[in-house]
Amino acid sequence: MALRRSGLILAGLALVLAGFVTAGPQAGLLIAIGLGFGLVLEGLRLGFSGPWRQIWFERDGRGFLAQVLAVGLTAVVAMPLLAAAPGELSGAHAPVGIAMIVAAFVFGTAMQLVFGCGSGTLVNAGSGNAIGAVALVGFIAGSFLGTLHLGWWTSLGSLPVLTLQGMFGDGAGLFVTLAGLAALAGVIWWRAEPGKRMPPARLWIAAGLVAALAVANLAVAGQPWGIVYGLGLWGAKIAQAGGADVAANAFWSNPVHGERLVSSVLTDVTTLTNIGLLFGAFMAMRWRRSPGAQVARLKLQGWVCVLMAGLVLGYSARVAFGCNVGAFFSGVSTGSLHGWVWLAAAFAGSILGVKLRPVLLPVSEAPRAEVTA
Amino acid sequence: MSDAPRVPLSRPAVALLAILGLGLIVVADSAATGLPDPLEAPPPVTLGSGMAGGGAHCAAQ
Repeated sequence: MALRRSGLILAGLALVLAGFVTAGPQAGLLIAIGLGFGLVLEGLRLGFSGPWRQIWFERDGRGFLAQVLAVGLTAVVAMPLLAAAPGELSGAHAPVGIAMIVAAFVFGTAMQLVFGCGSGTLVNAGSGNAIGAVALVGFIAGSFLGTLHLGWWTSLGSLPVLTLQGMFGDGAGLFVTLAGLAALAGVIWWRAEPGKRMPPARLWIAAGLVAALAVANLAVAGQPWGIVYGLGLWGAKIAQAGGADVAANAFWSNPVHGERLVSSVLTDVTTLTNIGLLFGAFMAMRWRRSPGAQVARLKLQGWVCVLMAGLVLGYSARVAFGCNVGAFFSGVSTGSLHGWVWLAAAFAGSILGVKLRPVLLPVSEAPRAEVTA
Repeated sequence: MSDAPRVPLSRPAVALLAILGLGLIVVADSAATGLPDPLEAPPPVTLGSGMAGGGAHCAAQ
C-alpha cells in the first residue's frame, strides 16, 4: 500500500514536471491545479449531477449547498480580481440566447443519463468507471461537432453578453451575485428535509479547496476553470488527423481558435487542467485500499445510449457555452448572467434526465459514479 | 435486468485505458504540430504579468 501510494505521488509529480519541461512553467502549474481538482472531486466526492438529483428526488440538499458555497467563495475573490486586472484576466462571459437555453436543458438531461457533467465525466473516466469512459468518447466527439454548428445556433437569437458587473457596477455586481447565491442556498435549505441540509465536514473542505483551485486557475491561466473547450479541441485534432478540413469552419477560422488548432494541445490551458483532472481522479481512486467494483451493469442498448448521451452532452455543452464548470461554476462566479440562466435550464433538464434513466438505461443497480458526479 | 453482463474490466484497467487514450492524443498531436517552444512559453502566472491570458474558454464564441 505504501509503495503504491509513493508511486502515485511520484507519478503525479512526474506529470507536473513533464508539463513544466515540455510546455513551460504555466503548463506545469495548470496540470498541478488540474490534479488538485481531480483529487478533490474524486477523493472528497464533490460532484454536480448527483446533488442535483438528490435535492429534487430525495430532498437532500447537502451536495448542492456545497456547490453554492464553492461558487460563492470563488466569486468573492474572482470578481474583484477581474475588476483589478481587466487587461490580464477574463471571465466566463457568454450571451443568453434561445439555443443556449435549450442546449443547457438538453445538457442537464444528458448529464443524468451518463451520471456526470463535464468534470464528472472526466472524473468518472479517470477513476475507472466504464460509463464515464464511454461517455467521454461521445463527449469529445459531441463538443467538436458543436463547434461546427455554433454560429448557426447562435444566429437563432441571443442577447449581447451581459454581466452583473456591467449592469450594476463592480461592487454591486458582486453583491448581487452573492445575494443570488444566498437566495439559492435558502431555496435548497427549504427544499431539503431536516437532517439533509447541513453539508458534512468533507463537503465544506471540498468546497473551500475547489474555490481555491478555481481562483488559482484564474490567476495562472488568465481565465476561469473550464472543461468543454479542451474536449472540443481534442475532437478537432482527431478530425484533422483523419483528413477533415477543420480550419475552414467558421468557429475554427477565428484566429483565437485557429491558433489552438495549429499549436500543440499542451499550449491549451483547458487541456492542461483536463489532463491533470483525469489523472488526479485516477490517483484518488488508486489511493484507496480498494478501488471498488466496476458496478455498471448495462445491456448493449444501455451502452449505446451512454455513448449517444455523451455525444449529446458534448454538443449541448458547446452550444450552451459551457458545462456545469464553464457555464454555471465559472460563469456565475465571474458575474455572467448566462451562468444563472444556464443553471435554471440545466436543472430543469436534469429532472427529466433522472426520469428517463429507467427507460433508456435499465440497470440492475445504481452505478457508483452517481455518488461522485 | 440483472442478467446483463458486468463490465469485464476492473476500475484500474478502465482508468488506465482512459489515460492511455488521452496520452495517445497528446503524442499524436505532438508528432503533428511539434512540442511547444519553451522559450515562447507564457509567463508562469498571468495575473501581474501585464499580459492577457492566451487561452480560449468554453464561453468563447
